[in-house]
Amino acid sequence: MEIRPDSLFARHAQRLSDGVGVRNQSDATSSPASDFIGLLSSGVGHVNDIQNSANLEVEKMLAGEDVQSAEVLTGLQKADMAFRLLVQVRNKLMQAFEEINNIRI
Amino acid sequence: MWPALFRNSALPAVEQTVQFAERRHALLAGNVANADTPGYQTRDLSVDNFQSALKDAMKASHATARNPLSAKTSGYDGLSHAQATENVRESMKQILFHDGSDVGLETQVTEIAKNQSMHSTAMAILRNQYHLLQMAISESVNV
Amino acid sequence: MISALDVSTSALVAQRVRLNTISGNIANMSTMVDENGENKPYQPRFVVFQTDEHKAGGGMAAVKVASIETDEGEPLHRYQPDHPLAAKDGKWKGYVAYPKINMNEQFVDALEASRAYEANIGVMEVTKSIVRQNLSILA
Repeated sequence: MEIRPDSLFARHAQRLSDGVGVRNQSDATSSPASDFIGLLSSGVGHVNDIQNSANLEVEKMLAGEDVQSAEVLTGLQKADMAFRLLVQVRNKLMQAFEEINNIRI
Repeated sequence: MWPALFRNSALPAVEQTVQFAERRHALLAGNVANADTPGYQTRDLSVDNFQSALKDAMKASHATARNPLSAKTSGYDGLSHAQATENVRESMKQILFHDGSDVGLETQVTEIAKNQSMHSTAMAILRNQYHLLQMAISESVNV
Repeated sequence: MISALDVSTSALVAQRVRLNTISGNIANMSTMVDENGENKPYQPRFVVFQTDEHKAGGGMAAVKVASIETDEGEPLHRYQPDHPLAAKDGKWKGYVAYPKINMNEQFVDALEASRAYEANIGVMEVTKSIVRQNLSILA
């Protein structure tokens, strides 16, 4: 089982999407919910790709191959920033989800 | 889950690089200390050997990650993960002796500086990787 | 990593002994009577360094002063027949024996010793920065 930090988010995103999907049972195919889920999971996938390529560059540098250290380090920095953005987005979504859950009808 | 948590990134390779840089520094410090000792042969660890052993170990680890049961079925015919890791450790222990040609104080000091820069870079990457994991675990950007 | 500091320290100690020996040589440049009161000029001394494998271990090479040798070469002879310490007879009759110490050589040696001293202090700084960076993993 591969554990990546971003896959923790994928699971949270999935839980979010399940919750939202339960409330929108009417239209499952092109509802705003599934569009949103698609957007979120593609975002997670994108961050994952950035992280993976940054890791590959690091491994190439450690193996002594001809990569510029400045490029490797900026790649790591970009991956770090993408990840932080994802964390913040995810936290905001969780916050919104909690608020919606707490609405008493 | 715990070993996989630390294995699926550049983390083990970076840790090995840090260790290698530290061992090499100790040897090079001994060279500078013995700059005026008659008949002394300068010692070193081979960076090329270490890096190629590390490359093999990373390939083995990728192959194992792809197919945990048998790396061979995914078309990988290099060393096993255990063997490759052992090779990396060996390359940190084999001390090379120079044959007394013009290896002066200036060369040694330069090598120390280069080694230190490798160590600093690896340290920065290490801190970055640990920070990423901490961010994910604590679900916050302010770890 | 901490034992790398021991290696550099051993070099500092050895170079210090070398500097002390050199300053002893320069101080005794004109000494013509040895400690027993006999009429023998001062013979210059020099240090012999040796690799010390046991100070730090693990293939790390420290250095130690194996011995402080005396240079038993011929002293400098100057023809001064009226000098009270001139030889009375023998091959060097009328000559006074002076210590054969070349001040320029001694100074160059002292410069090299201080250069080596500085180089080892530089290495110690690098070692300290490596240890400090290690601590930064946790904090």
